[in-house]
Amino acid sequence: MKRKVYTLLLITAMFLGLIGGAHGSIATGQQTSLPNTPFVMSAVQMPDGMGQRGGTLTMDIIDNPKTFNPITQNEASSSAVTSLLNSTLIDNTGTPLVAESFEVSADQTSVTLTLRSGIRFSDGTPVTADDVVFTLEDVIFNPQGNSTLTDAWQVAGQFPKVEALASQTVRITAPIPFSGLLSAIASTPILPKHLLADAVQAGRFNSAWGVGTSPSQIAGLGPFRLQSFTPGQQVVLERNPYYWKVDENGTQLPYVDRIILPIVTDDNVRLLRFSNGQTDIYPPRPEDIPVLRQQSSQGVSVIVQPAGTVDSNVVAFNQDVQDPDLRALFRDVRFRQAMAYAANRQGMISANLNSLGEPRYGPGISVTFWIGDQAGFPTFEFNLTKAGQLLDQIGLTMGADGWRQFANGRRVEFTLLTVQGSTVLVNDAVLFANDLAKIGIKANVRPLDLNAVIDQLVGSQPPQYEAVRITITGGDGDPNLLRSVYQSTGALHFWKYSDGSGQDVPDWQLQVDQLLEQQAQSLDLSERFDLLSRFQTIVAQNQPMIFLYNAQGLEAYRSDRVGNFTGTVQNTTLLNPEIVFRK
Amino acid sequence: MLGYALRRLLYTIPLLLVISVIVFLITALEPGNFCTPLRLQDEALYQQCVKSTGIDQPLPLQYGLWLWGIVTRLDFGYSFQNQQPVLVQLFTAGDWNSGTPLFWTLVISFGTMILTWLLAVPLGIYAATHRGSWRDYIVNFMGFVGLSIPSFFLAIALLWLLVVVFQVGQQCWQLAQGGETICLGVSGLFDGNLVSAPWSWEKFLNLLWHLWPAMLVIGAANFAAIMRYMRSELLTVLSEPYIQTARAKGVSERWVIYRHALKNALNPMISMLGYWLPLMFEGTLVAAMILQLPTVERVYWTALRQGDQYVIMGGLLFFSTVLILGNLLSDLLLAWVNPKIRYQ
Repeated sequence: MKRKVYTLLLITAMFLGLIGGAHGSIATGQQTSLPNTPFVMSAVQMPDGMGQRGGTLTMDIIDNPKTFNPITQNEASSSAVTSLLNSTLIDNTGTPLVAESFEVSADQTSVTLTLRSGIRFSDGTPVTADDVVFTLEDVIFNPQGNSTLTDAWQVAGQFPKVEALASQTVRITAPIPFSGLLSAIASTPILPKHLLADAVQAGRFNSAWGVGTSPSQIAGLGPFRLQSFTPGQQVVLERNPYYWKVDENGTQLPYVDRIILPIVTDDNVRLLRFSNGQTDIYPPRPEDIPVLRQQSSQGVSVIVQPAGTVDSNVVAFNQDVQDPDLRALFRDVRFRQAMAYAANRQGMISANLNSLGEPRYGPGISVTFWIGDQAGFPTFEFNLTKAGQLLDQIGLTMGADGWRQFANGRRVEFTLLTVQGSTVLVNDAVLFANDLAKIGIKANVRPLDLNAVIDQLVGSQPPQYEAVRITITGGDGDPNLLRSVYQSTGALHFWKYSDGSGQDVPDWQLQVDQLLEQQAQSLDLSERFDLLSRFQTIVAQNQPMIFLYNAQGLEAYRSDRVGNFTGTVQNTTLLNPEIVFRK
Repeated sequence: MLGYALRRLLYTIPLLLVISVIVFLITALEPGNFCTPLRLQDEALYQQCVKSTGIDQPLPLQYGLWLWGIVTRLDFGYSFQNQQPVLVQLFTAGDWNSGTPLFWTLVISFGTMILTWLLAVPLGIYAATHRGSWRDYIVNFMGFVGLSIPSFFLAIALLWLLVVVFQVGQQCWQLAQGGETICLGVSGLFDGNLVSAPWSWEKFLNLLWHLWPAMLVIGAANFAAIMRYMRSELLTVLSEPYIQTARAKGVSERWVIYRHALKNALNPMISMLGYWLPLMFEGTLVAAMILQLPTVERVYWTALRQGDQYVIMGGLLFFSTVLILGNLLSDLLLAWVNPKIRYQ
């Protein structure tokens, strides 16, 4: 009997050991501390007017955050959290945020920024120019760093110089005039040196602020700060008591006290939880819209946002494919134009997006630079006859079996890869292949695991794939980020890597390279707009990839409970978290 | 007996080694790896990732280093994704108030197992003693339904019933501590901010509300199997000559069933207990994914989707160990309940 008791005690002790992990917490004293010159948020920017403080907001996120490090994070479930905890010096429209003001030098190579006086991180530590120098020099420009931001800061192979001129003033100087400088500043969150300097010195910044970090060791300049993270269950954020924005009445923002982000990986379960009233905000799938509209009497509102230009939904043909017949065919612009005519964009939008999308014929950049809806822009509306005529011109004759043939009598046939598990991508590919069959082109749709698809696209040079239906994400904000896709030497120039060698490069590609290079060095917005218009027109004419459509953004929220909801960023996090309030 | 058990435990070492090789090969030979998705962002990031995770090293070296870490330091590697040790990620991430994956796996698996047996055994006995009656048919029908409904479907249908038909979200109350209003929710283990709140009766009751759908989903198929097994075992024993003799001697039917028949019919059931253990852990996987239960199975599933190599390998080793231990437990229980079996 005695032995049994000991065993029981031992098991209990093991349990306690397993459960009792370290758990840090922040002192809950919520004293208010505003900078001397806070940012005043105009009531005009608030659709429901000024709100009241207090309350909790709940929104499911799709996975555990992988890190709380805003620099190394590279996927949606982490950025859903880090974007609420951090802020930048200015925003991408040039509005000063953490900086109170900034000045661009006459020669357009340097920017001098003055920080808001008295501004503090969410742990109460004052922000100084040293923090800005640390963030840029020690973290972003650090060769050991692990960040997509690093590229955005480079011009002519060099990083800008960063100097602290006074305790609140900092100057950033690029080696040559650099159009991406302001957008690089606008996309870089400022980090607290006092919490991260040790990690940088020890060469372990990339693993700093991992998910096991105590909340008291994490601070930022965003409207919220981390209260707790329970793996597999939820992330809880509390208001940043030192946040630097106020409304017109002088009420410190954010309005809500707390945001709870439960981790729910299943799409259907997220919809059920929203219908059950457990969450206040839900970025729906197109197929959820009819169900949600039925719930309008229960306070559910649905917002349909205009289609963005951030994601490119494309079919790409590998112009370096080993098969010589297919390679010659894919390099023929008439073939690619025929494919553009054969893509039933409207059909894809109505079948797969519940009619919530807009056709596209060229590369989207950001809203500022999107010119594809202007008159004169090349369009390829669904027209199988035109597609067939172009194929005839190339000399692909129809065989007795109903499939077109090369001059040597071989059937025109290729494999169209797509991503297994993505209903939209697979359905698009099948629809496209069915239409191609009508004009005698045999495309075999082959869904593969995402990793396998990526391996075939960029895993070897030349890549192994023949054709692929895929979505290229990113390109948000500055067009410079698209250079890796469209410039001939780009790391993501996956439809024709051989352009990088400089041999056999078509003229239009050389023009594209030149235009992208020119716009990168121009700070004049209207000049850049012209250069980018020409870039987009040339790309659309030559269809290096067949552009399909952009999906409209969908948002659902409980308008009986939530005010000032303006939407989400890429369905993952709130667009204006500081002004959302609880009714 | 003790010697036998120790010997069996020693035999598991080479077995686990073989399993570890298979587990390693399964994860290493998959197309693409953890870093592959980074290639769509930036080739330099990809190269950095490959270098820092060491997945470009030759396979035998990778395996050797991994095994050496386990043997010398009980270090099962680390999660590429979360930058923390595999053991922390799979088992101990969390705290006292919110529980850890291992804690919830044990609570849910054993809780379901106990509940299933408590319900299935009496119902099996009932069906056997009322063989051929309409009650027997009803119990049998329930068994077939439980066996044939896929658990992922049962899980989502249950949530739909609770939300759309019963509208449980309308049931709200105010918490005694903090005064926060909480409404009944579905999926997960707690509602509102009770996840990280200190333990209280309210929190415990809220946990029970979330546990029952999980236990129903995980237990349904096993419940049916155990119930039907119990029924057939008891029917077999009831047809034995010694039962006839007891009845002929005028022993009451209740005494015959519970004193003579049931004891013998239960013996093989008890030895099966060990086999059910790994089944419960497996069954939790589907329920954990749909009902969002923060268990080891869900961590494992997430790692699987992300190609988080060492977490996958750690998870597979864990499930293999449970299987081996379950089998060992079965054999030991068999010897314990059946005096005719003795291990040397």
